Amino acid sequence: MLARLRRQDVFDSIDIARSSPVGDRVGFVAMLTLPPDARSVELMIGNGREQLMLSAPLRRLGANKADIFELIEIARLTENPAVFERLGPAIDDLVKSSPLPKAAVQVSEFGLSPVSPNVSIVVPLYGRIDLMEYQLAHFANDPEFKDVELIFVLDDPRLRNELEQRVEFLHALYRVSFRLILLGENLGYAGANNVGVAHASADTLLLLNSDVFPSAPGWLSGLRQSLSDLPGAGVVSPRLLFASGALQYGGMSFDRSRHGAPYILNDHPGKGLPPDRRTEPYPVQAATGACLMMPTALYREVGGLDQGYIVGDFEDSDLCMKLRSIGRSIWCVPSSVLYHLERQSLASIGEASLRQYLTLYNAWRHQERWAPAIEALADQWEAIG
Amino acid sequence: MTKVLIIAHGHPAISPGGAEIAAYQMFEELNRREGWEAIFLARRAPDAGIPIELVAGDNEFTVAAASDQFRFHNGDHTLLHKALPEFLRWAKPDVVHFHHYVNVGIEMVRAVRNVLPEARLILTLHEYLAICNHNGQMVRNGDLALCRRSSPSACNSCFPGTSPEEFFLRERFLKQHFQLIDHFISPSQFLKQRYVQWGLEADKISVIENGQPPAEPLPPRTQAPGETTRGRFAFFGQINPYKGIEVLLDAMALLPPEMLAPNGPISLSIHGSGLHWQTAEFQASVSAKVEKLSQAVHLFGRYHTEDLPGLMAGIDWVVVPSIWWENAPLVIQEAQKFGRPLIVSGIGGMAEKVLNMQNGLHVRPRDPRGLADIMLHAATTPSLWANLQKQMIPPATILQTIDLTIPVYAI
Repeated sequence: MLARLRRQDVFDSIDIARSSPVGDRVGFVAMLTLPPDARSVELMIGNGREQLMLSAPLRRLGANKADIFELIEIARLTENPAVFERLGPAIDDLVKSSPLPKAAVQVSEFGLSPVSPNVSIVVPLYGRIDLMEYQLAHFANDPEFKDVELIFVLDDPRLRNELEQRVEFLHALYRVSFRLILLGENLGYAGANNVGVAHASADTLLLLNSDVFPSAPGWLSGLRQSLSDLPGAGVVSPRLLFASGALQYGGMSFDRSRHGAPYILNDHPGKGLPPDRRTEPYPVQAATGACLMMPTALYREVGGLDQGYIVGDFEDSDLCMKLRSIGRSIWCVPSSVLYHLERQSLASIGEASLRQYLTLYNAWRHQERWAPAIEALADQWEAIG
Repeated sequence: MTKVLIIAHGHPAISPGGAEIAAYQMFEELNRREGWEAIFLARRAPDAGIPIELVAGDNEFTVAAASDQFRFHNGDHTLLHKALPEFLRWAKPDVVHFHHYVNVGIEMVRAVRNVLPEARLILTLHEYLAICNHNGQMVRNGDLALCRRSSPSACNSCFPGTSPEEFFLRERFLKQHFQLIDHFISPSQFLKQRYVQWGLEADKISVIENGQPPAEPLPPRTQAPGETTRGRFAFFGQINPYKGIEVLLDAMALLPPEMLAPNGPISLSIHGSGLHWQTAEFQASVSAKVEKLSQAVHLFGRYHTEDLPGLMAGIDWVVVPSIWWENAPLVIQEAQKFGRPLIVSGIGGMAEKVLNMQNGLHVRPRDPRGLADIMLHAATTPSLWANLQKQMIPPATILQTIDLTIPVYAI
């Protein structure tokens, strides 16, 4: 048994439950290994004096969002962050057991993309599409965008009509060429980027969140220069600031101290403080997916972003760990500066505690894959100081 | 021949605000100059008519346009991508001078730039609208305290329903469009400084006053036999909380009763409209204050420009007690034109246009006691009035404004 749950309905309707020493926590979560053809289970419940035989039908869960979220919700009800040590493998198996979601894809071109772009930028859109308008207003004033293949991926079918009504206007006004990919269903951050990258033709790739805005032109060539100059660079990422000008991101570190959380988390050192004075690129443990540049071939070589994480968390550090495993390094280029209005597009997903358990699941999954490599990396960084 | 398209946020025949009048006067005067030709395009409220329509002569048009009031966004596809380009290809201006973007929509700047990559784009800045979401006044929402600097978090504390990130986006959005403007015109040095602090380049902003039609100064008010005081005060302009009318009424109430008309020399005439647009609470408060002083305060309502000489002839002082910074208030120019010394709040555009003890007097904003003291001193010190009146500097004329603006068009 993993945990007891509150079940007021059971408590009220079954006599022996009322004499239970656990009060109204008469519900429970248990893990059982069943034969593949099992149809139902029989449970014997007792309180020491009396016993009750219950027959429970079984429902087969699918690798769909509703069923996966149901498991996360059950995890949340246990009020035990460490629950994923036991429940995590089942969720992971469930996700793996069926093919990755294949969304219907519709591609439209707005303007002529450059024949030989020097960078493909993939921007997933989710939650709100006016951010695309703000980005275009910035890109239109940046001469470097004439050599950019810009790819927007709408990962939010609810917004399709709204976007289709606006997109012609925006293209006519800002005169930035782009490709628009409409997904028939929500694939999440990793899935949307993977579809976008499949349509990218430049040798260099930039993953960009829709809530990231350049401070001034020059950031893109700065990143490209660093990617080609830095030996063994797998990923380069810019400095990201909050709207206030405080640091949002200057490289991610793995946090082994865990601060009460049972799993390794991604930490943004210096977040919220004034940015430091560094101007030259420096190595980092991992880069944020909010804005990262890498060779397109390398992205494909490591299989892109892992779609096994739910909603959008840890895919970026997972990608960085995959690149580290083939000998590539990760960098922050502080002379390229953008603003990141963190989580402006995610505010609409679920309530806080459910999100917290989603993050815990993703953290568990990330740790399962990378704990030894991360421990080694962290030891090495501590040794260097 | 240099062709200038002047785009204004309203036609002065329909909306006779200071900025609309200034834009229209520029249009008329430019057409009188050899080597220059001007076209006027004024915004009108969206209606069933065609988007851009000739309304007078062969060079006066209106454009049906609307923007939101937060980021001045206009998403009208037909207007910006069809009617406006067609109009611009017909008009072929060398210079496009925007007198505003409110209601017109900030995207119009980019739509013009798309069609006319070589044209020179000029924007006259009026209030602090791009900087401040509180009607561009840079006063805090709620208590109306003066604000000195905007920031995403400061603006969010003024408008808690709008996140700092939304304010950040608003600023970035407006700035991206401002980048397409070749040169800005600011009617005051103070307003220019606020925009420079906000992020515009100082050498891209020229300070040029909105010129006024010239007029002869009026002789001093004829005093009654034996009268030595200069106690006739007047207020001109919109009656709203920002113009400080309540401060002025409170100051009147603090004066010694024996100094107030009809027994004493001090009276106040209020010439202005707009009270009925204000909140019921504000209307009731103003009415009650006027009522209490009914012997000394008279509320006259709306006036027209041609009434001004007559109204100014009968008074001694013009009071501008605004509680926001102002920019280059028309009423100050009019008082200076007709030779009436001013008592103004000593902040922002008012302090810049009226110099303390030279051609007027400064008072702390929102200080009825201070204003009462200064009014009493002003009324009872006839030499003060005479000295200030002698030093009145007439405002720039429209011709002077054009002389200064033409080099900006030609840079």
